[in-house]
Parts: sequence; C-alpha cells; structure tokens
Amino acid sequence: MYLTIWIIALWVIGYIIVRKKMYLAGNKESGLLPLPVCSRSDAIFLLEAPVEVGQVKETAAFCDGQDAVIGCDKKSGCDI
Amino acid sequence: MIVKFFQHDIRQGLVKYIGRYILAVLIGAIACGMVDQAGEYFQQWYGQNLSIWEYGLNLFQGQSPFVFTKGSNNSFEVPMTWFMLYLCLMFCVGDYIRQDMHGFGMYMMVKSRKRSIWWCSKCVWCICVNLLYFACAWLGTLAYAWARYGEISFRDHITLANMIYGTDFIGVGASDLLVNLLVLPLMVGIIQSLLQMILTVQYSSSAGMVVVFMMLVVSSYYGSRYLPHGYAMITRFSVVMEQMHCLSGLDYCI
Repeated sequence: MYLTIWIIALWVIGYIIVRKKMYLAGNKESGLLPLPVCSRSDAIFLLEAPVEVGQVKETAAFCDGQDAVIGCDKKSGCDI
Repeated sequence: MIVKFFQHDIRQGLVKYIGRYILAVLIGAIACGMVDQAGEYFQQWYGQNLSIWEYGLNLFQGQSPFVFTKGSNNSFEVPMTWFMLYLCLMFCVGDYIRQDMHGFGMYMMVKSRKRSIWWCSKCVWCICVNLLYFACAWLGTLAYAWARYGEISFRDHITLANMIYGTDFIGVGASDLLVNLLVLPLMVGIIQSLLQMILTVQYSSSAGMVVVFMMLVVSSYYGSRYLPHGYAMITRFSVVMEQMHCLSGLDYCI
C-alpha cells in the first residue's frame, strides 16, 4: 500500500515536471529567445530557422493546427 | 499512438541495451555461489541442497538497520549483494530518458502533441525494465542451481536455511516469503527507477544516479518506513511485522 502511494506520487510529480520541462525545452531548442509562440499549454515549439518578432510562422503551429505568431512578453519591452 | 511510443521505447531503451541485463544474471549467479560457499558445511551435514527461494533469500536478505551504541564494538556489514543488485538496476535505466527527450522522442511528442502519452510510455517502459531486470536475476539463480546440481529444487529446507541465514526468517510464511522475494523488490525497483527518471529529466543523469546511490547508502544503514528500499530487505520484514503487531495491540488497548 505504502509503496503503491510512492509509485503514484512519483508518476504525478514526473508528469508535472515533464509538462513544465518540455514546454521550456521546446522554446530553448528553437534557438529563439522569444517566449511561447502561443499561450496554449499543450503546445510544443520547435522552429527550424530563426524568425522575426511578429512574424506568422506556420511551421510553428503545433497547437491544434492554428497559426502561431512569434513574440516575446511585454515586460521585456516588445509588443506581440 | 501510445503503442507507437511504447514500441519505440522498447526498441531504443530495452533491446538496444539488452547487454546490460547480463549484469543481473551475473549478480544472481554470484550470490548463489556465495551462499554455497558460506553454507557448504551445513549442506554436506544435512545432505540437502538449497531451493530456488532459499537462494533468492541471499539476494534480498539485506541487513538490519545499524544501531550505534556508545562504547560497544558493533560494526555494520553493508549488504553488498542487495546493494549491487539495485546499483546495477540504476545503470540499466541509465540515461535513455534524457537521450529520448532531446532526440526522436521530442519529434514524436511534437507530432502527437501529447506529453502525457510520452511520460506514460516511459513509465510503462520503466516497469518493463524492472520486470526484465529481476527476471534476469532469477534466471541467473536458476542457471546456477541447474549447473551446480543438475536439478532445480522448489522445496523448503527450513533447518538448512535457518543454519545459513540465521533465525530471522522463522515465522515468515510461504506467501509472505514469496511477496518479499518477488513483489516488493520489483515495486521498490520501480520506485527507484521513477525517481531516477524524474531527476534525469529535471536536472541531469548524473544527478539522478548520485541521489539514487545516496538513497541506497542511507537505506542500508538507516531503517525507516518512509525509505522505500527498506521494504526490499527481508531481514527488516520481521521488524515491520513487530511494529504492526504493536500498533494492532495499541488499537486493541484503545
């Protein structure tokens, strides 16, 4: 019973970490500084080439087939 | 979709590194050799050979927690067979999850748009790794028994086992013994592997290995119900049973 709780807890912790980690990894591996292309948490971003801020990039649209707009957050001084 | 993920994990994470599982076979066989060497006198005296389960006791026997008492010369012997078994399991899990995360697994994740399937597939892979690993350890035990005596015995030799292993196992029933030999070590192995996988994803493979190694060292010396590795040591089973009896006694008193 106790070991089963351990296994379930580790599965949940692992799932949370993977969700968070993969979201960040996708952006880092794109080689781009801008933050998420779109705000859907289920999206993973792998860009093949550098793109401009504000550019519509079809190849980056992995969230339910929507087009994605490259941007960065407003705190760093640029508009999406 | 999860079937494709799982097939990929089995091919790249299990079949590709199948050579590593020879370590488990070797540990199983060497542990049997050590028992035979230690109990040769008793085996000749009683004219009996140990059964598979009694050989398995050596693999998962472990060691009682170390109790330091000032002024006494009591020393602690690290349960090397048990320690090596779980250390090699760590090696078998290895760095695969990180390689996959930055390789083909990432591509599949992007195509499937699901990270949950990726993680579930890795968890199923982890269970398969553990099943194969412990099956290999038992295979080593079976191979040794067959090579040494030309037969594989499943019968109990209580007196002989008590002579070799001590009286720790008196009173442990057959069903409890099977659970302690087959189920609990597997569950502890899965917990260890999941923990290693999480640390590998979050930090690095070396961080995962260091933490698991430290857990093994601490579990060897220190006994706590919150440390999962203690449940994979049959020697500590009697202690757990005593605690449970005490608790049930308290309940009765209340």
